[in-house]
Amino acid sequence: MAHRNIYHVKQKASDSLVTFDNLSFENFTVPLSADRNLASTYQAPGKTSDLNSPDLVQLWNNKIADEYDALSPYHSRFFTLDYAQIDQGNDFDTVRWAADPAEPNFCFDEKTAQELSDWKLRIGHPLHSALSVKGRRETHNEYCEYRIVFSKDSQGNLRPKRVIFTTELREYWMLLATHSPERLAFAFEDITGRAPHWHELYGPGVTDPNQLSHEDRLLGFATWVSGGGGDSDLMDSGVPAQPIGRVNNLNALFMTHRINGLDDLLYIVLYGAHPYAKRENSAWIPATKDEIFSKSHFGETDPPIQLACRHADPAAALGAAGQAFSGRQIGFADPLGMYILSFAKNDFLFDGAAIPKEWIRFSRGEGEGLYQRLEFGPGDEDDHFLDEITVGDEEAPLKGGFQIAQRIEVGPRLRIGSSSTVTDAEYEAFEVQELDQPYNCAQASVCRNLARLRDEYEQYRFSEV
Amino acid sequence: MTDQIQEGVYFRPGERPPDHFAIAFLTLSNAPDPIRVRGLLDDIWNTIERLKSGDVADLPGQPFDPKNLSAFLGFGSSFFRRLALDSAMPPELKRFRPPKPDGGGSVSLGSGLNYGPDVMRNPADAAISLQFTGDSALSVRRAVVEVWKTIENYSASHGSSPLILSGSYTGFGREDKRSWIDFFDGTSNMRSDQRLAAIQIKERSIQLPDKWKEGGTFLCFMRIRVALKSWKSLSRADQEILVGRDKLTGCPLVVADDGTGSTPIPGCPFSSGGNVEDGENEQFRFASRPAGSQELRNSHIHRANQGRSTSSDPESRLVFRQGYEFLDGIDEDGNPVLGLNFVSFQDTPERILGMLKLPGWLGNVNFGGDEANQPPGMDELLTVFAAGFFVSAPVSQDGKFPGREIFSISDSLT
Repeated sequence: MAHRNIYHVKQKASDSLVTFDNLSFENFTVPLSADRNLASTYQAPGKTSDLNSPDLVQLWNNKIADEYDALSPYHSRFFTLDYAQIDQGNDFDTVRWAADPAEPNFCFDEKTAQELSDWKLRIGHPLHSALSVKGRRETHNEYCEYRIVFSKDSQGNLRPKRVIFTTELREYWMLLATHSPERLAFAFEDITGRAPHWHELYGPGVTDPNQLSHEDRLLGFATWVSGGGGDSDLMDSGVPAQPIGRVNNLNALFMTHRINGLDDLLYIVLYGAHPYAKRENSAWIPATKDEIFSKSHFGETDPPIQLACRHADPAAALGAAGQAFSGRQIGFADPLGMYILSFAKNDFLFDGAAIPKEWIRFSRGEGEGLYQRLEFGPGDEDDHFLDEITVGDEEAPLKGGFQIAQRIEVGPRLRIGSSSTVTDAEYEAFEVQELDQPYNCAQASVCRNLARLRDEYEQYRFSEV
Repeated sequence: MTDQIQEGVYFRPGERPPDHFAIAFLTLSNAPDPIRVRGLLDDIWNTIERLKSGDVADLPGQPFDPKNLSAFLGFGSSFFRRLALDSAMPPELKRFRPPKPDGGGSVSLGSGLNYGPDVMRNPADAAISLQFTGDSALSVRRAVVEVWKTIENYSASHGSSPLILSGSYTGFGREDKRSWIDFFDGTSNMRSDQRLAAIQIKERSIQLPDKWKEGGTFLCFMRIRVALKSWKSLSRADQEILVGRDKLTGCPLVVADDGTGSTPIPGCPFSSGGNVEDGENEQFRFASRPAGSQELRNSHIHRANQGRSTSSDPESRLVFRQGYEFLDGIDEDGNPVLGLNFVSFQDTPERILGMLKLPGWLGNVNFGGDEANQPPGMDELLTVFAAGFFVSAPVSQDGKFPGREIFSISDSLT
């Protein structure tokens, strides 16, 4: 758990669990921990064919379980990792939210949010290498990141060609990088259409990652491709928060923002999976979004109220809380991941008509509801450019990724079980106070940080593409 | 929590909209001068204030009962653009798409709502809207006519008018709380204590030229015709599945115990002959999304209100509805021309646009049901005569028309 400016009680994974460092990729067995004994197994996110062995599948499941165990203060009888054990469970994709960055919008306005989110400096600018994905790194924290691909037109002008969106989880790729360079290369090629050079994925000088220890693979990959994601162990080892290599910046392989991680996804669903309620007359009624976040339920120094302003957190937490209030047990449906659940493609026009089908390319998932990747816009072989597309009823020119992200909904898939009795004691444990008025998001502390970013943008905007 | 929402929005606890409604649209003449527009709006607002106190200019000394007349003033995007007040325009203020030149066409990309085939102009694509509500048919109609008189007087004294009364519609409330399709309507509207959070434009942390809007709201208006003949051709069961409620009682449908089909939620109504508008059935007005049935999740009530979040969150798509029905004669085929003046208030048009466009909401469907398998006629059950968004300033503290300070944002007026 990285961030959110809240106190978080994350514990180190139990020593009894299998960890990456004591496993050999070539020949290992992965026992279930004795106290876990789950009947459920999560496949690769999107049901991709990346995980081609039971051992890799087990490692992925151990990773999920490790993150879950580390969040023990938030555990609840209304949430289980063992989705197969949920009584009368059905899978739903109703917990979803808009993919556009919410924070710069509620702090400032839509125009500023679009500018900051699409921020990209012109290639060749002295600051380009550091700031080329500035918008992505600073603002794409609703479990969807994008990169704008530019190309020169016949006049030599650099123009946006298409936008690549990804919802793939950093932890999953780090697992592949640590334990199976071959499957990492497979996933890379699945996205880019070419085999990688090992140095792209593990750092300069690496010609055979199988000669590296697991730790060195992880450190190399984290440094050059994934970043540290706020992981304190990696940061202590010198891994930067964001990767210094280009391959993920250029290809949007997976998400790197520290908030967009498996740990935070688990955290926010677990945070919500309690029967938050308030009394109305003699009855219990569900707490509102602001009420859920306006009280310290888990020992936080300050209530995490500013989470209520974002897209992802209130949607995930309220989705879970609503089920807990009804006494329903929930879990992540198989496969656990973040998915592109809807895309309002009809809001875009090209030459006054619908977008050509080949300009909308979903991938990294086994069909609708499981896609983790979207490329929107003309391909390299096409003479057209992204800015020839219009968006919305007023047919405004498409400027970049923000306007597209506004029309994408992302979310996890949940399994929801049958209802059960919730006792007064359970409601009382998560009783909230009714608020006189909604929280004023403009006062959120994140707005002060974003004000500095906006000032920085104003300083450099002359160099923007 | 105090609010600054203009009058005519009946969202506060215990408030109920008056029975009568009118809306007037004003467009700008060629090359409008902002100073003249402001002057004429001053005159119009003065006329309205006099009407509200039972006084009309052409009948001096003849006071009348204003019948609880209220007025709500909003600005459309063309107001800002044509008066070169672009910097003061809220960026979220949108226009619906225009009808096709030969009629018809979608009101919004991705939406299944289309203009009527004979609609070639959108009267609600206007610079200014004036909504009137009151307790008598005369009160709201007279207000529209007095606005017209004020414009005529201005034109007579100044040689021309910068504003033109370009359209007007009227409507009435139904005491039975049903719509023309016979089902209860607006049943799952927000609780009164949740409404302000959904409709009041939020404060921002920085000073922007459109800061004047904070504390105000956005009006969405659509004049929607209902093809009642098509609706009547459906069985009651098919109608109920499309709506998601029992036709008589308004009780929400849930999956039947045997896992097939649907049935009114157990326990509703509480007593025989009751319905969801009774106090004892209040708990059944809002319907949770049925977990086990895509057919029910495709129904109108579950597409339009998904209960995803709380009202302050725009992604909840919750809006405060205050609609009025209309009956406007008989068409050439002998069918009644009737429908709904859809009126909603929200803190951003995105709530409505998302509801209309997004897959899983009302995107690609006209009213409800499976978009790929619509019952006969249901892809054109609703057609639109007029549609527009308008931003309203908070209530004025000095008796002038709300939003008058917008004009001082323009350098030409300072």
